[in-house]
Amino acid sequence: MNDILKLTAIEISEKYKKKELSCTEVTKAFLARTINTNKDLNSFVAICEETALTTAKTVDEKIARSQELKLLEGVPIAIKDNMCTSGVRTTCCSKILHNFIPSYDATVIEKIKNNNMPILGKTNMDEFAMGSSTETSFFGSTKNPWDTKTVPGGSSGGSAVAVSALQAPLALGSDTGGSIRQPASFCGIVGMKPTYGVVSRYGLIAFASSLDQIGPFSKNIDDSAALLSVISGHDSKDSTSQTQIDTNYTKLDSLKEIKIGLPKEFFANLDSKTKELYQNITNKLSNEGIILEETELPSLEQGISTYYIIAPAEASSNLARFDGVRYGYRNEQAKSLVDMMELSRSEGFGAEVKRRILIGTYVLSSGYYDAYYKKAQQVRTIMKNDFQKAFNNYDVLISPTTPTPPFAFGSKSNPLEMYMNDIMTIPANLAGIPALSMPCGTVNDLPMGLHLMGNLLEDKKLFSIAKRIETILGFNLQNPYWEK
Amino acid sequence: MTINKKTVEHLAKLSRLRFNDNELLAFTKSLDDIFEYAKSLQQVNTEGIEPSAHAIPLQNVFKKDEIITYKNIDKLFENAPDVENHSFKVPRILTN
Amino acid sequence: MNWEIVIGLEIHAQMSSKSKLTCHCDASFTNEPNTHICPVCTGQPGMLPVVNKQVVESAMMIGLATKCQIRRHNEFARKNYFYPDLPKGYQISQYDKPICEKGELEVEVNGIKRTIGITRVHMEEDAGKLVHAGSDNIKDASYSLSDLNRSSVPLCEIVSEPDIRSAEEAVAYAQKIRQIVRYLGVCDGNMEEGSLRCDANISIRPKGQEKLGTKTEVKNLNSFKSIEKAINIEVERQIDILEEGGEIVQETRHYNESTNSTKSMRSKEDAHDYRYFPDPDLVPILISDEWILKVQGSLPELPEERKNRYINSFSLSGYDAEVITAEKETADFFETTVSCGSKPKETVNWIMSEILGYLNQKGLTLSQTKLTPKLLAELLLLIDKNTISGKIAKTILPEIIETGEKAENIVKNKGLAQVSDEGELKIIIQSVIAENAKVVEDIKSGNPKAMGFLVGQVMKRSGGKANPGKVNELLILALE
Ligand SMILES: [Mg+2]
Ligand SMILES: [Zn+2]
Repeated sequence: MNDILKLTAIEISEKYKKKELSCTEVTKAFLARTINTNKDLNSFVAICEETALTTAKTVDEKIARSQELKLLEGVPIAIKDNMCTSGVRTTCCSKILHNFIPSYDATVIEKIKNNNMPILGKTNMDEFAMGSSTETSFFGSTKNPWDTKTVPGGSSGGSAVAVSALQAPLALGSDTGGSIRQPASFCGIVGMKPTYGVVSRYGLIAFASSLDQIGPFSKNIDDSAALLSVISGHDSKDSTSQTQIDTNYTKLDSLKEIKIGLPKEFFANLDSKTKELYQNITNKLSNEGIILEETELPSLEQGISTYYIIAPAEASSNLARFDGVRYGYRNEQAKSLVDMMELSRSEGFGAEVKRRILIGTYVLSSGYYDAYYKKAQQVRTIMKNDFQKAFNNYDVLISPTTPTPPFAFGSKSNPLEMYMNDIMTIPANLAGIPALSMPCGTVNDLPMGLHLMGNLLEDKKLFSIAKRIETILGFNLQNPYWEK
Repeated sequence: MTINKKTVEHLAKLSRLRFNDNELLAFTKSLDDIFEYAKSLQQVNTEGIEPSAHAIPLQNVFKKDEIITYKNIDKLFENAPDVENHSFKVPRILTN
Repeated sequence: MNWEIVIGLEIHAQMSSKSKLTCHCDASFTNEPNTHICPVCTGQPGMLPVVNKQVVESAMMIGLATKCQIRRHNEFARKNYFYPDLPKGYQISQYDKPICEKGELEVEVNGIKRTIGITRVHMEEDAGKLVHAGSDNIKDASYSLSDLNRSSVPLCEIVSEPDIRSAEEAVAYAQKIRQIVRYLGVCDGNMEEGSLRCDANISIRPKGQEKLGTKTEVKNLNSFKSIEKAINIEVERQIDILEEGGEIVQETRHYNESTNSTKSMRSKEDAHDYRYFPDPDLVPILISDEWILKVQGSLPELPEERKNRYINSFSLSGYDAEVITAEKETADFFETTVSCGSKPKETVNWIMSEILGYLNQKGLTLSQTKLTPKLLAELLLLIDKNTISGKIAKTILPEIIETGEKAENIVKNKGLAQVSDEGELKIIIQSVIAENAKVVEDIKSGNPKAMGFLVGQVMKRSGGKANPGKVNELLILALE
């Protein structure tokens, strides 16, 4: 297998500067890998060979002229299919958008193009990012390169697989309740959800507006920090975009004393093997002089309930625009407006999306608003306060990213069971705080992730501590699929 | 039992969805499970707690009152299922 | 039975900002379908709204002008419902936190002043427009076309308390609102183009009863005339129902101007539950004292204040002050004219009768003509100085309006100046006396009325230019 594929994004950048590699070579290598493996993994729903190579050519001209390259310039990237790409089909892996071609770029895409990062293609995902396994995609599920009988996690399963199967050195995902971190954990790579508002949501097809955040997938922490530096920044087109952001995450600081909290709610019911894995990790860290303490955030136990009221509520409204009038799928037989809208939506949306629309409609409907939606928003406030208290004492909070290793396809047929998968990742979205998952070992030869949560707008500190942990733990990313 | 078939039928109407009986049954069951689980929320004492509509408090974000003409209007129509007279065409609204 | 009419009005005023409420599209009216649109106001996937600050300040101005309290912590909510003119499937509006509340407005109907409470003023985006094909009425249309030019155009919805007691009062209130938003310059008040739209909540109850009757909401009142007619017809309908022992159904009814009737708009499909919730794409708007003071300071003089000032400083009658301040444009014109030296009372008369009369028949507005306050003042001064008679002045007014020529020049060129020169007049008088011996006899035999006839004759021969006073004087001398 081509060794280029194993390189990190930053290693690739270095080789460009030293003129040891051309962008075209690199882009072709990843495109080839993607094309050869996609039938098998189904991680991409669109491959943009031509445009990727055109971008590569521009970069090679700059290299030839020994022009200064921007951060990650020329490093190929894969994009989750819920980010609008002008002229390239953007579907959210839903039938209702199967034919939708945006006439505009999401702000993150503008930034990626601005830095001449070749876009390899659009990646598979749970329909409208609603799922934790990429099984709800209209284009079929994506396989986990660690074991193709298990799910890659979701909703950003395609992007996670792209990086872990060496189809792309970098990828973008979106995270509403763990949709970057959980698949990163399941695929044994690094996935990061920035502080809410650090990355613009303009052009990201909304699932739950107050929770959605775009973030990077990568092989390691340095690549993750570099990619966040490229895509972050204030955007006047997004009212919820943060105004005060230092968008340079590359120069990580080395902290003298690191104090980490372990929320006991997250270590409660783990099976013995998993417990053991995290016990070893905490031991290693404290041996290195990092202070670890068990702590309590009682409101975390309400995470799932709170999330599965707030997210569907916003989704039920965000997905109302898919009505067959201006774009997307329309039932052509319908004789009346209501028939057209009802049939287009019923045929265009999958079961999980419909379920969440129903949940959201219920909690907002008259008579239930206060008992459910308002209540959940109040608990959300309590949870934020719990975190603020915790971060007065600790630099970061750590836990497993998921309660279990990747599970088999079809094994979580009960929705509630599926939702439980997000128990550790959801609170960070509700509180808006930055969080990441980094590979930390395996259980039954399947990868497990270490989940770090940091304080609001302390994304850089989060990276710095993650980097330190990365050097202590080390981790061999290599999965069985690399040799395929 | 928090959710029954009638509720789901009403929710379907509100959200412009249409179900056959099996679907109705399935959604009734799964919604009921979910709201049974969510009952735990009611135990939390939220007296005097402000609801959070946003992850992070921001305020007074505005745009300037200036006209910027969008250049790709025709592209918007390329995605439209049915167009007539540069407008989005929909089937008859009232039937009786 | 003796019924009391109870009316509350909801007025949607389109804010005259350059761009729309949440995107940068041109907010102005156009007949070309879907030419003022973009991905945001057509609800394309992934698009986000950003609020137009101008609209927030316009709403504050309306609130301050109607004695409302301005809310310090504002938020936008989503009103969720499906319709082909509503691209996002929800309308960005305000729900339980409107920007202005608890205001009032005084209206006067044939001499009786009453205060109408204003419940709230809130900001929201407009929906698009549907064109129904095959018929102008939606029921027989075979299909419909959605035009989103109006989508996301900023509106202020001004909701009154159910304090209005008659159709006339409703019209007076609506006219007052229109006058105020036009004075504030936040809305052009153009009802034909829909910049000002009105819905009426109408109910009746037996006189003396506390409890309100069941109301109906009547929509599509797009002129003051239709407000009046629709209310009267709907009240009649309700009275008939109740007096026949029936019950009023709470519903929305559509007023049809041509048939002068209201029709129920219920359609079995929609179960109404708007599921309002705070829009997570928009952040709260916090309004500080400083901000309110700044806007307060920017308020122009309002009709009421101006009316009183005219009564006091120009000693106009209440009536004259009322009519001249009805439209800001006219009031401004009046004031500048007076500042150029003309007499207030005369100026009012000339503007209201001669000028507006002429403009109405020509279908023009002041600003569309060449007439300036200075030109009018000059004309009126010529009358004062007896250079021309009022009659002559009226005949040359149209030319001034059309050409913008100075009155003085027109008078000179056409030789219209009054003749007060005795020599000239004596000659005419002699010939008139000579030709009317009979009349002269009458006068001498003590019938002064006949005098008027001779004066008329002299005026006639002078082509109306003779100074009537002078003529009289000289005639009397000549007949002695
Ligand atoms: Mg309204
Ligand atoms: Zn627009």
